[in-house]
Amino acid sequence: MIFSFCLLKHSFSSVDAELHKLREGIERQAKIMAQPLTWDSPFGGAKIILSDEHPSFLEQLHIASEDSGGFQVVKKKNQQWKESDLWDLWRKGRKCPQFLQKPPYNKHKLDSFEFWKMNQVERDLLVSKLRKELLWETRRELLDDVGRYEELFKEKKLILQEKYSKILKDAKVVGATTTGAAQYRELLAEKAAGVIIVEEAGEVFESHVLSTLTPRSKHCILIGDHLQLPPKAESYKLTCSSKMGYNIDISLFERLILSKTLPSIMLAVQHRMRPEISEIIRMQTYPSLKDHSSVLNRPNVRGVTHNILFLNHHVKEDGKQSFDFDHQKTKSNGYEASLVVELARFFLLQGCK
Amino acid sequence: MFTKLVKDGTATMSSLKDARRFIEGINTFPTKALVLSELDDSRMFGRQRIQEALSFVSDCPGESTHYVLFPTLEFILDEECSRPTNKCLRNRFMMVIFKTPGLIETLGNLCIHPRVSVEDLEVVCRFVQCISKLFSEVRQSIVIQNIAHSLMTKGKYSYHSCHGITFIKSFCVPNFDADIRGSLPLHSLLFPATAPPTQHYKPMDESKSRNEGTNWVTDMIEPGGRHNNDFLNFRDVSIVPTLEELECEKRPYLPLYSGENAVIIDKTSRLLDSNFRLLREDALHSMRESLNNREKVWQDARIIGMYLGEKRNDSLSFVLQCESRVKTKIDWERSKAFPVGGIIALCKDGNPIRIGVITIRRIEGNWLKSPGGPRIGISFEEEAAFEESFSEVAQNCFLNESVLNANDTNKRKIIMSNMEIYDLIEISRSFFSYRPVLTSLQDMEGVPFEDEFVHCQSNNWASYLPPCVCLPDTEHFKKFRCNLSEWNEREILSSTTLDESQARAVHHALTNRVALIVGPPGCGKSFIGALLARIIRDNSNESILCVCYTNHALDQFLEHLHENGERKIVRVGGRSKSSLISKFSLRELARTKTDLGRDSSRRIR
Repeated sequence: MIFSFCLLKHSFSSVDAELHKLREGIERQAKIMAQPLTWDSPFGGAKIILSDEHPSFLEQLHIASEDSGGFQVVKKKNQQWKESDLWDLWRKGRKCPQFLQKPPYNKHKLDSFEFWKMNQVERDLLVSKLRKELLWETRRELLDDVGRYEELFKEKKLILQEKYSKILKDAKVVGATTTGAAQYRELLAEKAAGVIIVEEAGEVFESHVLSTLTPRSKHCILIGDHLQLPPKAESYKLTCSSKMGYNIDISLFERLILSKTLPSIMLAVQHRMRPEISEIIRMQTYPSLKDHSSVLNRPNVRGVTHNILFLNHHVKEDGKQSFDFDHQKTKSNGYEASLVVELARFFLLQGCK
Repeated sequence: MFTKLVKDGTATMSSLKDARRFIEGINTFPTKALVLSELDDSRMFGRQRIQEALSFVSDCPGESTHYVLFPTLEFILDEECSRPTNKCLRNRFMMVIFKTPGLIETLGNLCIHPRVSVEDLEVVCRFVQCISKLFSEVRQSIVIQNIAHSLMTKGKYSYHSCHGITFIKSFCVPNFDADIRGSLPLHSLLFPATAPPTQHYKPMDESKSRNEGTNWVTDMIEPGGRHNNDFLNFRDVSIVPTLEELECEKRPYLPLYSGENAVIIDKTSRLLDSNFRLLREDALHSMRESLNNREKVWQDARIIGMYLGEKRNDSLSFVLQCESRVKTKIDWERSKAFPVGGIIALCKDGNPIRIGVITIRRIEGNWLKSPGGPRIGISFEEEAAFEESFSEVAQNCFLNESVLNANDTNKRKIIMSNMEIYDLIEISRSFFSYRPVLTSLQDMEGVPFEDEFVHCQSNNWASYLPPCVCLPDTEHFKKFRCNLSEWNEREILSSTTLDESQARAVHHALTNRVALIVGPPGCGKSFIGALLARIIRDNSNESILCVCYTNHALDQFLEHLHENGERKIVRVGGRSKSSLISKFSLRELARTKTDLGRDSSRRIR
């Protein structure tokens, strides 16, 4: 046991170390990829890529050597002009320096060339094109590394799960929402709980229940009510009410009950509503529903003449737009809201708790 | 011998004897994980050696299969190898075995050899099952489908006891049914897409086709071939939709509830297939609509970089920036836009060209509130999309700086016109909740509780419970002992506070392997659920998984159990609103446990 734990750590750290190395490599390469292109970097820089791919441009930056007249044009402080200086000028969007336009430098009639006439935007674009050409190889390598990184990352994630699965191993009761269960399904499958209890089973898609089961499941208890809300489908055409016949919103629970070949038990006594309220749902949906003695003889609601009240009003939604751009479709009804607030205040003032 | 062969590139395996000794060496290691990592090490020659050893395996059962082939397969199928830690290594290793030249053909011949034993067949069966579940490449291999077929027929006629064979067909040959198709020539089994439908479609009766008669016709065309993600076998379908799929005008194949247009005859596989297809269509339908409607378009979206994460747990993503909306201010904390796992589409000139999955949604830092416009992290499933985006990064990240620095809109426009600029549409915000369920369905080997869920028949008891169970020791139940096989309703009603229907529900749930309890509002559904959990917990060693639809119901259920003294609770998945239960969330437990471990070791020092 101890040994296997050590091994786990070992393989984790080795994966982690390799990931780290790759990350550094990728970051380094990415940095190179993000570097501005200068005269001699990265990888020989503009000089190399111009001479390889665009020799005509390179000539525009060429400074004739001394033998062409014995003179040299110098910058301030008597420094010699270099090609990199010309490149920098060009990069900064400057015009072609005067001396380049005069002999012996203007061998090629500079003015007729586009190179120095480009505006700043065009120069930016040319530079980015040059960068792309120059970094083609790095890009390839980076792509390979990225592939390997993704692969290792998956591995690391799996290893991290081991920690979770140890915790789950000791648990006797594991709770999850349907979405949570799906997200952690690998862990739960490893845990392989023998008993599965699904609450609100009538509101859950069949697929969600199926995906929580494992071959080691021994007992499945579905508790719900198929007469209340069905699973919420996003697509209308798949639901029962579209009559297209796909019936995605028939839950597993409902399907089994509708089959009528599987036994089911219906709870019959309600402990929540006073008889006047339960009568309504009894009439509509549950004819056999009984009232528990605890709901009988409750005191009347204070301040109103009836314990059940239907309130109707005819004020339409006010069409106020939500300030949040996400919910522009939601409707609002200020009248109704203030009505409810006042009603609540009224009941509080009557001493209702 | 093993170590020498693995480490030394010049050593050779000259005979079957060497191969045998090499494979035997596997068992000298203390753990299987160690072997796996030795074999996988790219600096050594493990993979090569395994393939060398397996190349000695011959077609008929004998020394080569007994000492080389089966030990290797058994090793790889061992439970220890399939633990999360080793899974990746194992899967790679499986592929190494699969790719051994000639091995799979040998395996196929071995399956039909008259002298092969049941146990051996079972190993082959498990191997084929496992590897075809993992790789669609394997599923589509003709030889593997062939093996599946011969295993099936063997299982049917001579090896009834050979467990697990029935599962294979659900992976390899979806619409294969031995009863009907057994007599057909083999080639029709190997190419399921061209297999003639054996089921005759009944003409629809008037009442059903009334609404949209035309749909029924296209629904009947079996899956496969409509677009680049339409397959006969639902396990081959990639979960994230492809662009071609979303733009496809042909209606997808969707199984009807009635089963009239079913292409899979085996009921169990059909159940998984139709659940998968319907649920996926539920997600895709709204995606197609939002792709066509394009209500909210984010303009000037561009891929500006790659992101490896500040936290070390982030996967690799592309950074995408879109226009800043100065007019409408967005409250990102409350907004549900760009959820992680949501799906977006990038459009160029009005045509969608790439589908991406959102991987990073962060508000602070240089993300959603970034001054130049919101930024998110996305990833691409399709390889071509990944490559294209990748090549844009280099150019865009550089130009993007100039865009952000440019004050002049005209100037900005000119630069942008030379970047790859897209319109961004969010096409699904809910996909993250579909994805794991769909993956899980693809992964399932069969349907548990097949009798009940598939055939709607029940004659199965919850056999793990003792014949006599003890109710909890509380004032309501007074440790009442009840005999499940001789149920005395009167007695239980008089000694507990359960009402008649509740007592019957408890009895029903404890005796049936699949129990159904219907509870109208206010009838104590959650009370019964918690009571059952407690009874099962007290009377058996089984652990219980409780699944609820809402977080609220789950918290209530767990709080109920906690009140009753249960402490070995774990809540999986994040959003608990109960302060009591959030202590038991998996993440919280993992955090506190490892912290304790580290702290104590430091203190000792």
